[in-house]
Amino acid sequence: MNKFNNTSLIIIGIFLLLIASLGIINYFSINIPYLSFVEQGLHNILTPIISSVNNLITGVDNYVQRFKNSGEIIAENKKLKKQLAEEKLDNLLMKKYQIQNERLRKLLDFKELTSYKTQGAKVIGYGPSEWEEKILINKGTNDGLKVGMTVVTYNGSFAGKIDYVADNSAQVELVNDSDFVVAGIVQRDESRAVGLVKGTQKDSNFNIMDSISWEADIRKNDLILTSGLSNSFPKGLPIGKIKEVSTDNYGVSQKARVDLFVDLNTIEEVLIITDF
Amino acid sequence: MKKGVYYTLFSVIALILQLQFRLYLPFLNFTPDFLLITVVLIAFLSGTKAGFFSGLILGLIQDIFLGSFFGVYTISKALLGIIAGIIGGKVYKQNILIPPITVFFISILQEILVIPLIENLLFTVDFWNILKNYAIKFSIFNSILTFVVYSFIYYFGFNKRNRRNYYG
Repeated sequence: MNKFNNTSLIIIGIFLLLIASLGIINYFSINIPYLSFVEQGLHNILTPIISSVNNLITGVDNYVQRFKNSGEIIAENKKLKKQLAEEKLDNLLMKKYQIQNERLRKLLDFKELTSYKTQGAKVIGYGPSEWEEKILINKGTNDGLKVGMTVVTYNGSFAGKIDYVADNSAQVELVNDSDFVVAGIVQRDESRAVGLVKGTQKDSNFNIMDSISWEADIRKNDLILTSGLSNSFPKGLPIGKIKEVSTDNYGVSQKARVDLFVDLNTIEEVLIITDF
Repeated sequence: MKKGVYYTLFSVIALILQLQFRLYLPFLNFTPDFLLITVVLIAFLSGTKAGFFSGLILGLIQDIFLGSFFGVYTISKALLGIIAGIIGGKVYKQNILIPPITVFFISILQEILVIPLIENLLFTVDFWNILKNYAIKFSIFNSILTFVVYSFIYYFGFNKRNRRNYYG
């Protein structure tokens, strides 16, 4: 049995002092030079390992799935080919409309609508804490990513923003993180009510929209988009749908529950808007 | 030296599991703390000093993957590593039920430490409710995993050594 003697007490004391000093560094967010270099280095060493394990597992999974569902895949392929032919026809019509639209815009002197440049990335891990909703993706500064860029899912709904970038990986703070705030606007033309959409704690798939003015016209099933008021996110990305509306601040304002479009538990690939 | 290699390997596996568990099993909606289990087991097998350093390093890595350096988990895991080392020095290691029980209490202790240290959690969550509904479930899951892992270590580590002592 190990009994406490003076040396072990001194060692434990030194460790506790070290922990306390780390606490102070953390609490006052003191910046120590070279530390970010170490942080970047550790990130760059560890993420390739994590990424390759992910590739290996998805590779094996795909291989198994290929044998399991080959019949389904053939049927789906046929269906998609047919769908593609229809889409091509539609596209031709759209092109006509586009030309017409451009001509009319020039006539009316409207600002041109441009689509954003995006970069696709694969999710290789989740944040290692139950209290913070973050994901790790396999693209970084080498692919032109920067802190603060907007992240969307493949169907275009708002997913979050980039929180930290290393050379070949980045961390994304998801829209349901308790720290996340984005200004939302109701899509209906006669309403356009504005409020703050915030993440909730330990509830994955809904956010709370609050600070909505008392007389604002907001109803169940209203679509909430990013408002673009703060200039940190592009305007008009769909966030979610209103599930219920209630009073807040003892009746001074309203708040609403917003069911998110993105299922953040099964997110596998994301797009990053790089030129906003 | 050989132990160090094992611990490093074990830690890397724990980190990969910690980051990717939810990716492959999304329906569970829940990740056990593989890194904490690693820290407690290292502290148990190699003492307070090893517990402190493994807690410091794994906590640091956990914080790095949350976007902050020297954050909440560096502090809490280093402290918990010391506590696990002290407990490990005072108990009979051959009893495979003791590490799971230790992990259970240390997991609850981690939640008690972490919630007040994360600023935006402190005023938004109902502390007792979280402890009752979440921390206990989380700790039970952690201790079951520890039981499985420690049983392996026990049969492949201790038993082999004991056999060698008896017969040769």
